[in-house]
Amino acid sequence: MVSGFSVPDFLANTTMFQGLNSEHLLALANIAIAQNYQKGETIFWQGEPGRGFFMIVTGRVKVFKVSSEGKEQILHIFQDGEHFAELPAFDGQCFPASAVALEKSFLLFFPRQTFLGLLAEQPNLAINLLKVFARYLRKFAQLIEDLSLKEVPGRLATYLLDVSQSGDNSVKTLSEIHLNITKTQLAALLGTIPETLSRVFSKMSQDGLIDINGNVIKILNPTGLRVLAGDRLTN
Amino acid sequence: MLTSVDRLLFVRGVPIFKELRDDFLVRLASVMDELSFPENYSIFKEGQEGRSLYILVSGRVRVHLSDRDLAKLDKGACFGEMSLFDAEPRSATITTLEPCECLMLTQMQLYDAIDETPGIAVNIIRLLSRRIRELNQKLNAKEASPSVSLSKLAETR
Repeated sequence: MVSGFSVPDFLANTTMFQGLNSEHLLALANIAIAQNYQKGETIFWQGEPGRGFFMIVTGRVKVFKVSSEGKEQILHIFQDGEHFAELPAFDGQCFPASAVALEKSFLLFFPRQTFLGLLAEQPNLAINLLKVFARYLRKFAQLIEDLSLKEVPGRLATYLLDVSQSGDNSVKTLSEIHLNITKTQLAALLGTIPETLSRVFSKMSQDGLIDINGNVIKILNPTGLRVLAGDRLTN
Repeated sequence: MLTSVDRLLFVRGVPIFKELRDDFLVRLASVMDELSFPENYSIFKEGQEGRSLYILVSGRVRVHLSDRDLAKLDKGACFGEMSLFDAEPRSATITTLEPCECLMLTQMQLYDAIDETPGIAVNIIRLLSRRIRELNQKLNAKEASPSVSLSKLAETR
């Protein structure tokens, strides 16, 4: 332990516990367990039961997954003042990844049961945590929507081409499609949400690929659609 | 006027409250206000700071940005749920398409309930963590899939 180090003062400056009063900080300091790790030492392995979460006082921790082929994929590197592994601490599931100290590190460990017990008594602490988790949730939801935004145009193009080519083959009009499902159903089919689908339709329309009027879609540029559909064309 | 059973059913329909303990649900349902809105009324606008969740009890609303429609919502739908925990600007405008009735829960009401019963927060945090975990897995799957289709393409060449 570094002399002159105050756990409550340290906690007061972390994002997870900022804004809490001294009584709360003291209670948290009392349940925290100081742990020292050497460089290269494992903190926990992927698949182990989530026994609590960690906060780094000083040091650096690598959180990573190992694929079935033995390839390491680093998810995140945490530093001073940051916390990790709080998810399994709350949902009681296993650690979804492994953690190793990249250098000599001094951590504070908050055991799951004791921490949950503290939350049950301290509303302000619980509310603080609610905000932290809500922020994570928004971040993840945004990340997924961003990824969707990249994939949905290709999937939609494939869908439109498929639909325009099915039906009566003697009349090869690639030009007009009548959607017989709602936009909400179409969004779900393409693995996204209505808002994202709406944006994608808008862009395709602006780019002159299609003209959309309610559930009637005119394909203006079939070649352009095929390019967008890329390697997803089915036989 | 909704009965307490009706309220409970509507509140249980909110994704973050779906698996909340029954007694917590009853507690939250009992403090919510019932609001009536006329047709063509904007319940909240894109960019406004919001700290309340709404559940549509009757009527239909459209979710839109200025003049571009993003979605239409029916009875049972909820909007603004995440603003219970932070005060992010609303990401879209909600305008009624016909006269509507809503249940509303404000951040203040939720915090008061938590003050009395901290277990509510712990329960919600658990649900949020589970949701985060699911989204995390979804994210990993999405990030993995481009390489899957590339390798499939390689096999066909």
